Amino acid sequence: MTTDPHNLAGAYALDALDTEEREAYEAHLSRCSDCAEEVGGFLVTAARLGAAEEVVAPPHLRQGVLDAIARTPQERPVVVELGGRRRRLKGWPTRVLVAAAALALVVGAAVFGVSQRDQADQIEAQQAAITEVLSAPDAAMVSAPVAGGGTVSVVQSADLAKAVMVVADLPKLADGYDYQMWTQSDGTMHSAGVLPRDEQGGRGAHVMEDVSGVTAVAISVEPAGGSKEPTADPIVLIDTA
Amino acid sequence: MPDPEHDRRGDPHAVPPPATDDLEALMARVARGDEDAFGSVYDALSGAVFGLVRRVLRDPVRSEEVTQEVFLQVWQKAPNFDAGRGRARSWVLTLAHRRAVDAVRHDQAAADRDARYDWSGGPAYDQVADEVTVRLEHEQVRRCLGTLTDLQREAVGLAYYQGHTYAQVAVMLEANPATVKTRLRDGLIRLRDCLGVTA
Repeated sequence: MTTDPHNLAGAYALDALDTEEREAYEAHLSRCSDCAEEVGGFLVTAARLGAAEEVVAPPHLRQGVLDAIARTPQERPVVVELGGRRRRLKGWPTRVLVAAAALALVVGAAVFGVSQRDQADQIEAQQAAITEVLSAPDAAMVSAPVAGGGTVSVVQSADLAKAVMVVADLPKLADGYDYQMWTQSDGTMHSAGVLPRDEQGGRGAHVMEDVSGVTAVAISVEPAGGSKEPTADPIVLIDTA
Repeated sequence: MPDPEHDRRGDPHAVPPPATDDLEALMARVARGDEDAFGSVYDALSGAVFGLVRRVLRDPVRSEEVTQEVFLQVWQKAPNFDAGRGRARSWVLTLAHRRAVDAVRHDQAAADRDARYDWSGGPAYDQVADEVTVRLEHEQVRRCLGTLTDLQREAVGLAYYQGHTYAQVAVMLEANPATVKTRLRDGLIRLRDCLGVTA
């Protein structure tokens, strides 16, 4: 079924989309400035509905919140940090691709300049890890086009022994198939997880831990849910050694 | 500890929301890790956040938890918030609504809540009227909701105040999902214009 995404602006601003539709719409928003403008006005409108519900918050909440933030680190300012570091990145179109990576981190930026996604704690942690890798002084980037469309980039920090795989605009797959990420070490492929389906056709960034022995990363198309080892030739393979 | 409501902003019943500029300046300081500024942001917005969250969740204890999560997010994300655009209040309330809706959808008791909720009278304003500290805003929102068609108003209310998806709203209103999507958008356009929101 095809739907006009413009029609979803109201439902989005009222949080009346399910998670899958919400993420798809946010990906759309990052590409459609007219939509972002309309949604911006709708979000401010919805916030007015919310503000009209103001009551006096329970007084004991305050200290609990202040205690919690005192022991919670803030996100680093992603885009600015990357802008300052990009000269240290090796490779060519890094500026563009790092910007793409940053965009994947701050979906919703078009509206408020910050991520609107209501992330679970582990996603918050992953985001911090991604930022850590992207802003590491020794971060180096390699990127490659994907057979069939799209781009995959790998930003790697040897010091941290971590890498971030950034996918952009991979074609949507038929039902029953997923993109699966792999790391190669000692000549063997190890699964690095299945790409969330909502990143098909959009962008995503994924942390890979303990990559010190990894010589390449790859993506293949596998039956839904992924395979223990690749069952098809990779659509992209990037040497990282 | 001094009562923050009185310590920070005087009589809460007499004072409208703080001037936008103040809040933007505070958010810029929060973005640099200023915990005192965060305390002031909390004082300015905790009533609205808690009120909205409780409106959606209805359970006061759960609402306190979610309110705390919202302000933790505000703290964490502040360095990536563009404070120059004058939308700090909207941003925080957007985070709050998103969090509340996600919580209510995961709430095991959702079915019970829906079953005993009487939607026939429209939004349940009376439930909060005695505690509302921003009566003017409240009245304006009520007036503007009154300019919507019945279907627009019911759809917006079921979605925003109860956290239903448009597909659920369509079932509840026995309407076509595509129609509900359109009504939500039309309703927001009308509300936006009535409230004088400039995008």
